Amino acid sequence: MKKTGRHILLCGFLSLALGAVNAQETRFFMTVNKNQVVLNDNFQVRITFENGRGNVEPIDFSAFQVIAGPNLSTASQIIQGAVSTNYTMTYFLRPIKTGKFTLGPAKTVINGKNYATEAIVVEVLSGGSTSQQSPQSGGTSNYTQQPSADKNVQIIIELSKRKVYIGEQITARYVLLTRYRNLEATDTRYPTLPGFWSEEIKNDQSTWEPNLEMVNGVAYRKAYLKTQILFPQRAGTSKLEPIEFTCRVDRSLFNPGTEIKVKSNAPSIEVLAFPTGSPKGFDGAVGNLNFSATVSRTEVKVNEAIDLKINVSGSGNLTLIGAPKMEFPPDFEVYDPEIKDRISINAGGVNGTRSFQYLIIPRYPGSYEIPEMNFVWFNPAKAAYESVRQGPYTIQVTGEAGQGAIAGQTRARNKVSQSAQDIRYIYTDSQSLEVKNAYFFGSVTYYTALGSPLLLLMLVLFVRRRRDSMAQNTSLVRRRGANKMAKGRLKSAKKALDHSDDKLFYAEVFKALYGYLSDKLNIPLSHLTRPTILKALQDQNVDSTLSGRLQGALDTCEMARFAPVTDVQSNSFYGETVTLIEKLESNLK
Amino acid sequence: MRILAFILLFFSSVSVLLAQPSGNALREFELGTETYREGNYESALEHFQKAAEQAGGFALEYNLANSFFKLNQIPECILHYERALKYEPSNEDALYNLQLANDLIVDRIETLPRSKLNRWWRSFRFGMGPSAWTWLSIVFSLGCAALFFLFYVSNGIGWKRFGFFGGIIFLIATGLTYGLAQSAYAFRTASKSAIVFTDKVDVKSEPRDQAIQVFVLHTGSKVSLLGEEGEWVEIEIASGSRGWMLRTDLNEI
Repeated sequence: MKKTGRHILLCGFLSLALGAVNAQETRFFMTVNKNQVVLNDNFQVRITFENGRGNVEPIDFSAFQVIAGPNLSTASQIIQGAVSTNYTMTYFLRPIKTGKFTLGPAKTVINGKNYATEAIVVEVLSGGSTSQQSPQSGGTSNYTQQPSADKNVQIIIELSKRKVYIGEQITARYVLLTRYRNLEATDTRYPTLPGFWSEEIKNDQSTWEPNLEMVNGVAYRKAYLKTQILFPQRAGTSKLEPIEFTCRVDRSLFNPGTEIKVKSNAPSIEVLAFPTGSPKGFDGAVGNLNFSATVSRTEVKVNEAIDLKINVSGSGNLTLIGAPKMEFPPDFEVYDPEIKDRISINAGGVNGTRSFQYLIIPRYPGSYEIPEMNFVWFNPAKAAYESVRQGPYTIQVTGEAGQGAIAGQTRARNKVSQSAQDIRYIYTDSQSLEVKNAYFFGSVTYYTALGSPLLLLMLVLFVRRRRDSMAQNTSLVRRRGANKMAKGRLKSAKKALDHSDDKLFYAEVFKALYGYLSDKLNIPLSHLTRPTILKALQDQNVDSTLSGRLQGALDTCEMARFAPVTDVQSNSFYGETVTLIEKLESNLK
Repeated sequence: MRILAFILLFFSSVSVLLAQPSGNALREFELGTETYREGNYESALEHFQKAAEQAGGFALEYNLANSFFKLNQIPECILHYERALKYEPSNEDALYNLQLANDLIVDRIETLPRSKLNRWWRSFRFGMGPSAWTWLSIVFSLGCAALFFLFYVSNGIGWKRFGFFGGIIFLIATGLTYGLAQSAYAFRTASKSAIVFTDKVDVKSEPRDQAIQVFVLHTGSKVSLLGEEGEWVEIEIASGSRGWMLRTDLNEI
């Protein structure tokens, strides 16, 4: 009961605070400290007057036993000279039977004006089932209860609308209601919003709302955790995920408090598709909008700038509106539009103006036209498409091309960009066709062709060399034969020379020469005389020096028969005779 | 007299090798290009395939690949682009189209870009085909023989020197061009890689069905052929991973 008393004090304090805020306003209301009561448990009903006093019509408490009351309490407060009074009647009741019972509404007349409270439904549960209304229940059972079942902390998603068109804005507010005095939010998981574009309203810190929120007669403190503006992006019914909120309550120096986890409701939103037959130029703009366009000048000189300003204003999905498609004359140099937003986002929605500012510079003189602009949007309030046309604007450009401040500056040119990829075209020249798998390389013909020149060369060289060597050989053999033959004929002469028998030597040489000439010239020895020898040699075209040398050798032999000669002379004569016979041999046939 | 007979024999066999493909193939090729121009790719493909029974060449393989691409038969398309590249390894059009086709297959194939020098060298080596190198080697061989002959026959020291050194240079050139002809011939005829034609192939660690599956390839991927074992072939993919798969899942380039 001590705890309950504390809460009464708390309630009183809250009431005072309320009185302070609405100092001059008269208010009349009824509260209960819990609206789910277990049989045989007490609860309180309080009827409060603020800044006024009247008689309360008796309330039907027949379903309850009145344990005590009405207890009366009065409080007054002066804030900045304004006096506020607070008068409270408190009943302590105990339920008699289970079921749902309606209290009130309480009615009164204050200063001739009728006031009525809201009716409060109290549910009476059979004994011992739960003790949900924990803080006032007098026990410590609240520390063991299921967190999600705690009705003293509630999270609610409030939606401004439940049935909207695509792109129509919905204000979603995430509300925290609590009856705990001391609450610390530790974790808040906001739902992801698939299918919605959201704009968040900037809110530095959640604060408690000044007024208590009455839910079925129970007063809750209220705070807006977050406010968002939602723009649905696709048609169909979508259900928002609940918020998961974790908080710690009743934390104090000696008490770690209790952690409570709460899940919010999960409201569903029905999103309607746009009506069929959207007009040309509709690009998804939704809201209560307006459209305007202005051109700064319509008569300019070449290279002077023109401003084209397009404004979309009103309430709607302004932040999603893109620049309207414009077709400017090709001789205009147009820069990308500058987008300026003056948009406020608050609980009332997204309002303001989005403007697109084009900077246009005509580069050539002439008369040009900026074509008509048609802005189409969907107005969900009227469930109809609306449109505004602006323009066309005729621009007169004077002067000469290339003049002015930016003369000489080249025009920006479009890059040729590839929009789609495809393979390159086929080859159509049939001349490049080849016979299949016919390769010259590796064939016998190829190797023949490759090797034959070199083989041929070798063959030619071999034949030449052979012929050369054979020719050389015959003369060599003949020379060698002649030498042998001469030495053979001079064999006995050589023997005589070795025995130093000079006379015999010269006689033998003489005999050998005659014998050789007889053989060679086919003249019998008996007919062989100096004149016949000379004639025969002449017939065979032996040159005169050789025959002269032969004559000389024969003379020497004849002379040596009569006059003695030295060994040295004999030796050299032998050699001379050998070469003489060799020479003759090669000259005679 | 013998030499003359040689030369006659030589030219007669060469004229056989220089023969053009049959008129039938040429006609089919032209019909193919015509129907392709009209956008009738099925018919174009049929004509090109008929032409390919008798003839070959870059243009034919390239056109076949294009027709397959248009008919969305990507593995065949890749196979024929690869074959076309065997004729002209640096053809820009074929490389570009092959890249587009490779973008459409399941497996990403990372091919290292070749340097400019490498591309030039490849097109120099293989671009002319083996026949150009074959002919060049014969020309060098003839020149070499002629110069050595000059060296032996001439009397002047200048001519002799010219014949000797010229002959040596031409002999080296003959060897080089022969080597190039051989490598170009091998490049054109030997198949060192293949294209996967089955939708999904489990590549095994060993050439048998129960072996561990190493990786999975999908249709259109290019693999290098390393070896074979019965009906199994050992393959390597661009990343360097190796494995075994059945020959029937492949088509050699």
